[in-house]
Amino acid sequence: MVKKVGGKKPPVSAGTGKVESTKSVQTGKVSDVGDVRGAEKQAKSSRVRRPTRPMTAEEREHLFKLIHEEADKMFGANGLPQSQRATVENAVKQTVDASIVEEDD
Amino acid sequence: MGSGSAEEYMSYEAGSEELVAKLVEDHQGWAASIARSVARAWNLDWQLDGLDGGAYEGLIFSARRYDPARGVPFRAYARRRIHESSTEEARKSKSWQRGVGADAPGEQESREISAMLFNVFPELREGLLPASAVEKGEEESMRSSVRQLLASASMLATLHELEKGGADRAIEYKRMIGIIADLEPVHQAIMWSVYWEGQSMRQVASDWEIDELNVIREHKQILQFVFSKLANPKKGSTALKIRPGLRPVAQTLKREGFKGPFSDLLEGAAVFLLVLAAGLLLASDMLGLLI
Repeated sequence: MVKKVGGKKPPVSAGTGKVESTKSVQTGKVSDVGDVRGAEKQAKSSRVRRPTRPMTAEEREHLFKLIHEEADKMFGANGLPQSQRATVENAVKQTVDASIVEEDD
Repeated sequence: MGSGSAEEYMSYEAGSEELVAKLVEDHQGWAASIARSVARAWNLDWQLDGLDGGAYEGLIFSARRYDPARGVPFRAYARRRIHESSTEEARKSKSWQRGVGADAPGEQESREISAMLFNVFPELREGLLPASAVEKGEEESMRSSVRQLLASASMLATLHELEKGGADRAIEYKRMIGIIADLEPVHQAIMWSVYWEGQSMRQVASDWEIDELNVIREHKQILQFVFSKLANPKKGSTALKIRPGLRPVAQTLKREGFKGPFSDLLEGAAVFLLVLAAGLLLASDMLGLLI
């Protein structure tokens, strides 16, 4: 399952944005540890590759064209048997098609 | 009709009848669109084949569990569930079971493989292409995603044939099996678990007690590798490396003498053929003696 980076934000500490001179040094507090963990989470999250953008109805034909072109490379001489190409290519096209929702409500 | 953002429903209590009714009213048409999309792709009737009912059930299920306080838009929350319900109904329908609408040879098999692809790439249900294995611009990213789908569909087709016991057709896929059998045992284990045993990548990761991302990313690399081998059979390529997150698992498997299920499969087939050949030779010798 693709993990969406956008939905995960590091926890914001209670002190963020507030500058209180009497409390400017606040090391060792639990909230600071939480900040570090949050920063670590953010660092990890930033290494997560985002998924490609959602497919749209306008892109359907272009995607079908790509599927056909890439199938050309997989099937045929020295590749997978041509007799199976239609089954596999159609399966992928159907999957892409079933994923694209045309909202006409 | 609401846009589905969480703010619109903040004044409602999560799980309340009022919220459920409001969500259903606002998104019923959209849920029906999902059912129609699935029906269109699989050449079914969205109403006669019950996909509308599946979508509606998915909508109700999601509406009852939706909590606007989490800040997630309802459609983002519900889309996967509604899509799952629609595809489940499609597969249970008489049209599917009887192959209605799948007139050309191989079309019903295409449907089955298509349905299985949603299990391998659940993000498709949200309208997302599988994450690209390369980062070279939009067009190349789309191609990379398409290659993953094609390689995955070929894998499913191969194992589908093996399962049906269609040895003659499975032989046509021997190249595919040969490529997988040459992979490291840990890579073979991923492919076997996902494609033969139908496990999710999350389950595989959980069994191995590792981060799910390691399995997801390695799976993408495997598919990319398989596609390259199929598309460029004469081009030599280096073996697919094991990512650091999987190395402990790979070492454990090696220590246990695990060779890989596809290697075992080929080995078993080779032994079977040897025994068969030996049996045939013996039979012909005996026949010669009798004559």
